[in-house]
Amino acid sequence: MHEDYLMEEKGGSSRLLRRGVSIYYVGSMLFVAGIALVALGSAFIMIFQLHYGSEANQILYTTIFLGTGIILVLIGINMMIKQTKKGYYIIGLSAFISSLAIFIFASNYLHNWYYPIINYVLVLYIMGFLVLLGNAFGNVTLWIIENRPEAMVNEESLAKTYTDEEIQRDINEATRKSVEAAASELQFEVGDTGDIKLGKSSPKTCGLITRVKDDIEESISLKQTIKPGSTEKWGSIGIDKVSMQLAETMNQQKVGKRRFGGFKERILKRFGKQKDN
Amino acid sequence: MAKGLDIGTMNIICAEKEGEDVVFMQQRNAFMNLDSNDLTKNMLDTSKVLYIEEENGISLLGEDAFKFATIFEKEARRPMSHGIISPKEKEAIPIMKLIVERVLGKPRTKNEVLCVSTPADPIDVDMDVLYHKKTMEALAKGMNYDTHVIDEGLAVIYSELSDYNFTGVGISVGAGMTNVTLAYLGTPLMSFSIGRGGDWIDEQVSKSTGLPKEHVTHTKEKNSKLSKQVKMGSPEGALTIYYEALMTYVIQNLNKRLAKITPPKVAFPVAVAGGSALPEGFFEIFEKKLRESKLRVEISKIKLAKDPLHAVARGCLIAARTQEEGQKTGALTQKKEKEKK
Repeated sequence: MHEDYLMEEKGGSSRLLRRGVSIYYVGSMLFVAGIALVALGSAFIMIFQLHYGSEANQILYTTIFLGTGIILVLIGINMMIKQTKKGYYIIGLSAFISSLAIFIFASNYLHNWYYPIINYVLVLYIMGFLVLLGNAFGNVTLWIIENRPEAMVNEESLAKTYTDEEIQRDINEATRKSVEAAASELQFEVGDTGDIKLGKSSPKTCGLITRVKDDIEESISLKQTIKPGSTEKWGSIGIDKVSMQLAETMNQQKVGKRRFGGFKERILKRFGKQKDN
Repeated sequence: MAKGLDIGTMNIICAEKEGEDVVFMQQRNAFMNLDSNDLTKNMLDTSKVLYIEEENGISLLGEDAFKFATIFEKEARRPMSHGIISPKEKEAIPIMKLIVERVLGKPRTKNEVLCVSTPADPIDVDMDVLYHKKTMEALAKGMNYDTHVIDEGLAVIYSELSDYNFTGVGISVGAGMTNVTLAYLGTPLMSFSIGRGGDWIDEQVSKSTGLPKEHVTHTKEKNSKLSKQVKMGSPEGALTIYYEALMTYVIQNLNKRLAKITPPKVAFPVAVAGGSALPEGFFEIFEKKLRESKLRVEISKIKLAKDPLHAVARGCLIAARTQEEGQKTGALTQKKEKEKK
């Protein structure tokens, strides 16, 4: 059974497990058995012509066969589908709950079949039924999602063949990205230079000092260029720049209007003249 | 408060605002080993030279290492080569950290914003700058700065092309590499670096003339003029030849890279900066070569940075101040929203 619990990725409880062959067979056997029981239960309904006033034994057997059959069908389906690790626990638990409900029903029908026992049995059975159904649905959805990109890649790779240059470029790009990612995670420990013995008269700051009168106004315009519109901090210079841009834009609009306006005016004039005449 | 830091192969330059001035603190990114004895130590102490004592001798740091190397005709060791931490000098990282600490100083406010320039991915050398970027970032973060990293070429654009809405090509000709960025409205569209710069020129000139590399570097920095009329046997002639070779190489590569993108149909200005763009006559030759080349984008103007050596650090400072203002505005907006709630 070692193959039954092979995992695609270690430790991933939310990932689908690679299902073993034996689990698939057990699942299909349970599914078939469930179908058979459901068929038998349905046959009993028809044979006994079941109704409200039927005999207790007829109702009991029919219900047990149908109830067990439905649960077995669901357990079988669940076992045939790839499951997560949690999924197997869910199947076990819900199977147990449903079996318990059927057992309580079988042991209490007909003589102790009163409320609230009926409620308990129904709740337990429906809970087991719904959880099994939900688990099957959830895992199928997960399987579809996980398989979709693979399928797309396969389709693409089948459709397109890559040239050596493209492969080399992809490799280079991937390597570059990997190096960049590795470098961004690097934590350098810069050794302290404290143990280096400095000369007695070594100055604390050293080097050639050049002093230039310079306002560095470029930093104002750089901010304006990179983030246009952010004017509030820079005062008049920023406002001037934005004002100039606005004036320029309005000027352009005026020119546009004049062109259109001129055309309109000419038509009106012509019409006006014709009317006057 | 914010700072800009240009960690170059040759120089480490910090830019910060002090009142109405911008102050640049510059130190050579170099060190040199000397044998340790009391006489040497006394001499160094008297001259207030920055040095460290190690088990196997003394290491001079920064500009002094370079000066002593020129005097003793020895080679100064460089923690960086081709714009990134030299694989041969990995043990020099603590020394580099010491120089950076001295140049940068402690943050004046909590989480002071710092923008550090780093090279873009090289296109002609098989090396990766990612590790270098991360190391530099970690180095600055270790000093409690809110560290951000920008490309050298973009720093040039921030510093020199504000009149063009930060649209254009920024070229930083450094010692280790040449960085190029094409940006549109402050957003980089393409960035790359070339594993050739001032050091490559020095090496070629040194090979051609037989002069030590340090001597060539010194000549180039102090009194070089790129001209076609030079004295026989002087390094200036070789410098002109190899400078022209470097320019052609940069322009060709820029054109090649432009073919791979679709830039907006606007005329792009070009700004050139970097320590290796300092020699007299450099800009004239570069401008001529660029105009003659049939570049895939229209060039509107070609300009040399006002201060080529400090342009990258200045660009980093601009980026840092913008970042800082952005953070302040963001914090204010959040505060207002909270108050509203």
